[in-house]
Amino acid sequence: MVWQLARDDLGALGCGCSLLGSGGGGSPRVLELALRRTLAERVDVHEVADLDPAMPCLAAGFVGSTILLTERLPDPEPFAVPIAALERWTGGRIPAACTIEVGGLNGLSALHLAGDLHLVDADLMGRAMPSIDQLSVIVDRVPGLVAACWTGGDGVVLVEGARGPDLERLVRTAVQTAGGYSVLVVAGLTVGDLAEHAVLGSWRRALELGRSYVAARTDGTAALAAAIGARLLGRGLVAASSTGPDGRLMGFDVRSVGGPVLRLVARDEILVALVDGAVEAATPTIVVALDDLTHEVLEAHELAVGRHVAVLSLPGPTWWDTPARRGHVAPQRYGIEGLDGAA
Amino acid sequence: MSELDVAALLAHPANGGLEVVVGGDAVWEQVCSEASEDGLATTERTLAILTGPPPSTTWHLDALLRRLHTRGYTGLALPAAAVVDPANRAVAQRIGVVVLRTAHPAELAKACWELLEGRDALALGYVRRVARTIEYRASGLGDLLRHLAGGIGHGVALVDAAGVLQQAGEPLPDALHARIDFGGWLDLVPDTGAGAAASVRVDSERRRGLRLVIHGRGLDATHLRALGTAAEVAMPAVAARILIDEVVEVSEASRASSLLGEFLEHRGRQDADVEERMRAHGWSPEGHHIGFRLLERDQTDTLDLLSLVGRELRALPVAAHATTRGHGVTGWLTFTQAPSPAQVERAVRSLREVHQAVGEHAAVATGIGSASSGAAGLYGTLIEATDAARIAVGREATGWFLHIDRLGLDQLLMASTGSDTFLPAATSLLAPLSPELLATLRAYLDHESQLVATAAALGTHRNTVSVRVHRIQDLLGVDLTDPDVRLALHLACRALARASGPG
Repeated sequence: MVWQLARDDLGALGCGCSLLGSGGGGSPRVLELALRRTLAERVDVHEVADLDPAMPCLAAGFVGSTILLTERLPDPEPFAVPIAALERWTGGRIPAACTIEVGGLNGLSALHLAGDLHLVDADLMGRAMPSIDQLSVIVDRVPGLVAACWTGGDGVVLVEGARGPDLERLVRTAVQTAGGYSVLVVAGLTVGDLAEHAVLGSWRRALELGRSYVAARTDGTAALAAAIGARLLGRGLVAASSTGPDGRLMGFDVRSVGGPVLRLVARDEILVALVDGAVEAATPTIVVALDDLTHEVLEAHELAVGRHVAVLSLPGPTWWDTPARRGHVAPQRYGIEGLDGAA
Repeated sequence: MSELDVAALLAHPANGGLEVVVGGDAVWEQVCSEASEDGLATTERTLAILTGPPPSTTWHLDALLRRLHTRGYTGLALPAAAVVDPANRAVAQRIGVVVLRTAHPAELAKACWELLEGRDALALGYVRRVARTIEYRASGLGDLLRHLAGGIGHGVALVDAAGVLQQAGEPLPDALHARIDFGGWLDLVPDTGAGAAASVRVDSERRRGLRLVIHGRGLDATHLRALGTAAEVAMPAVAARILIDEVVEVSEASRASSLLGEFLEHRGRQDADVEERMRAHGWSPEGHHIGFRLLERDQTDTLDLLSLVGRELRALPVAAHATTRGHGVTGWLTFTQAPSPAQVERAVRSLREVHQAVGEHAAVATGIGSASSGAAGLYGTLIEATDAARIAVGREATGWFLHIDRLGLDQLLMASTGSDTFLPAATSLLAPLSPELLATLRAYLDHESQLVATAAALGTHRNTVSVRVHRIQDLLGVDLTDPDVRLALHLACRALARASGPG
C-alpha cells in the first residue's frame, strides 16, 4: 500500500529517527531543515509489496562524521554522483530507493531522492549502527552488490562484490578522502531482495514513534515512555563515567537517591543498560537517553557527568533475531563480553 | 554444619591480605574458588573466590556481581588489582553481595577451606606453629609466651582466677578474663564483643588454678576449637617451663642454703674452703655486715618467702644476700666501710620496709643483728638476727620486728633460760597459777612491782592487781619483796612465755 509522507511530518519523522538512533546516527535536524525547503508537500512512500520485486533498487545514506554534517552542509543533491556511477556500472536506470539506516540523520537522507525515484519504506539496519558491514544486505551476503562512495568533488569510488570488512575499510578511506563525511549508495539490489534482506516499514515506525513522542513530550517521563511504547529503565544523575580497556567504550553511572544503580555502556550508540548489574537492554534493543527536564533525545556523546537523564528502552528490529544475524549486532560485536543476557 | 563470615576470615592469620571492599553480614557454608566466572556453578550461601583476572570494566563487575547473586553467591573475593567503583559498591550493597579483595586468592581459599572443611587442618596448622615455637630456646616463661604469641599470631596469657600473671602479644581484656571457666580442662569462650578465648588448665605443683589462654577477636567456633587444640599442645611446654624455672630457683636456693649452713657450723672460724665457695657464690666474708632473719609465722612456702624477700632486697641501694634456712630466710647487708650509726639506722629502716612489704603477702617475724666485720662478725650478726627473730615472733607490739641493739637484757634472759633443765623447773614452779594470775605476775614483774603500772598494762583496777599478787604469793608460798625470788620468778615467766610461743 502506498502512503504519503507530508512535508509537515518531517519534524515528527526526525524525532522518531532520533529515538531509533539509540543515541547514535547523528541528529536529523540539519537534513530536516534542508528538506523543508526542497521536499514536495506530499511524497509517496511505497511498501515493498507495492512494487515489482524485480525492480532494481538502491539504498543511500551519509557515512562518516555526523557532527561535521552540521558544520559543512551537504550538497542539495548529495547522491547524484554515486548514483550516476552505479547506473553506468549496472547498465540501467535504478528506479527505487530506500535509506541505509533509519536511526539518526540517515532516516531522512533518502528523502533527497523523492520525486526522482520510488521511495521504498525499508532500511538496512532498523536502527542506527556504526559500521558498513552491519548493513543487512552485507550481513546476509546478498550477491551482486555494488557500492559507490563519494570521494570529494566529482570523485567516486565503486566497489563490487567486496567482503563486508573490506567494504568497511574502503568506505572509511573514502570518508577520509572526502573530508570527514561522505555518501554511500548500495546498488545491485531489487525490491524483492529488500523483502527478505532488509528491515521493512522503517519510516512508518519512525513516523508513528515521532508523532507519539511529540504529542506526549511535555507529559511526565513515565507517561511519555508509555506513549511511545518504551520501557522506562530509570532516571537519575550521571554521577561518573569510566572508559573501557579499548578506550572507545564508555560507562556511565546513573544514580538516584536510594534507587537502583543504572549503568549505560556506550560507544557511538548506547549499547547496553544494566540495572543493579542485571542487563535490562542490550543491542540490538534500542536504548534511549532523554534529558530528564526537556525530554530532548540525547546522543551518546551528549551524556556527561552532572546531567539528569531518563533512560528508556524500545524494542529492537526483529529482523536481527536469528543466530546468524545476531552476532553482527550483539554487545560482543562491540567488544563487550558477557553482557548478552538481555532481559 | 560449619559456617564462615567476614570476621572469621579477617581473624585468620593467613588470609592472603584480605581487604573488605563492601561489607555485610553474609554467612557462607561453602567456598568456590575458580579462575574465571564460568567455573562458578549455581549454589547457595557460597563465597566465590576469583583467582583469574578481575573484570576489566566497572560495568562488567556490575554484571558479574548480579550473575553471581542470581546463582546463589553472597560473597565475591577479587584479586587485589580489581577496580571497584562507587557504583559497583552500591550495586553490591543493594543486591547483598559482600565484596572482598585479596592479594593472594589461593591463600584466602586455603584459609576458607581450613575454616569450613579442614577443621583438623586448621588445628594442625596451629599445632605446627606451636611446635616451631618450642624449637626456639626460651630463657624463661615470659620468653616462651612471647615465642608462642608470635608463632600462633594471637595473644597468649598465663592467668589465674585473680588475673593475668604473664602475657605476650595482644593483652587479655579483663572482660574476657572474667568469662573464663577455671573449673575444667579445656574452656572455650565465644566472642561476644570482647574477643574469644581458648584456655586449658596448667598443672603446676606449686601454683594451683593456672590456665594458659590463647585469645583474639572475630574468631568463630571452628577457629576457636583449633586454638583450643593449640593451647592443649602448648600447655605441657608451658607447664614444663614453669617447672624448670622452679627447679632452677630451688636448686639455687638449696645450694646457697647449704653453703650458709656450713658457714654457720664453723661458728665464724676461718675455713679456707668455705670462704672460697662463698666468694664463688658472690658472698664476701670481708667487710661489715648487718644480719637479718625473717621467720614464718604461718605456713608460707619458704621459697615463696625467699622470692618475695629477694624482690624487695634488689631495690635496696646496698649489697644484700639472702637464702633459705629452716623455716625462714636468712640474709645480710654488706658494707665495704664500717657503717656510721646513721647508716646503720638507715639500713635497719630499709630492712623494716622490706619486712613490711613482705608482710603484705606472708606473716613473718623479722630480727636484725648488729653491725660487725669479717667472717666472725658475719657469723655473730647472723646468730643475733636469728635470736632477735625468735623474740620478734612474740612481739606483736613492735610489729613482729626486732633489732638486736635494742635487746640487751632480752638476750641475756634468752641465754640464761635457754637450757634444757630450766624449762621443766620453771613450769613446775609456776604450775599452781591460773593463766590469769600468770599474766598478772608477768606484768607485775615487768613493771618493777608497781601496782598502778601493772593495772594500767592489764587494763584492771590496781586493787584487783593487789588482790591477785597476794593470791600468787599464797599459792606459790613465796615473798615477792625478796629480789632473788623476783629474779627467779621473772626468769621462769620468760622461759614459759618463750616455750609457749614459736621460735
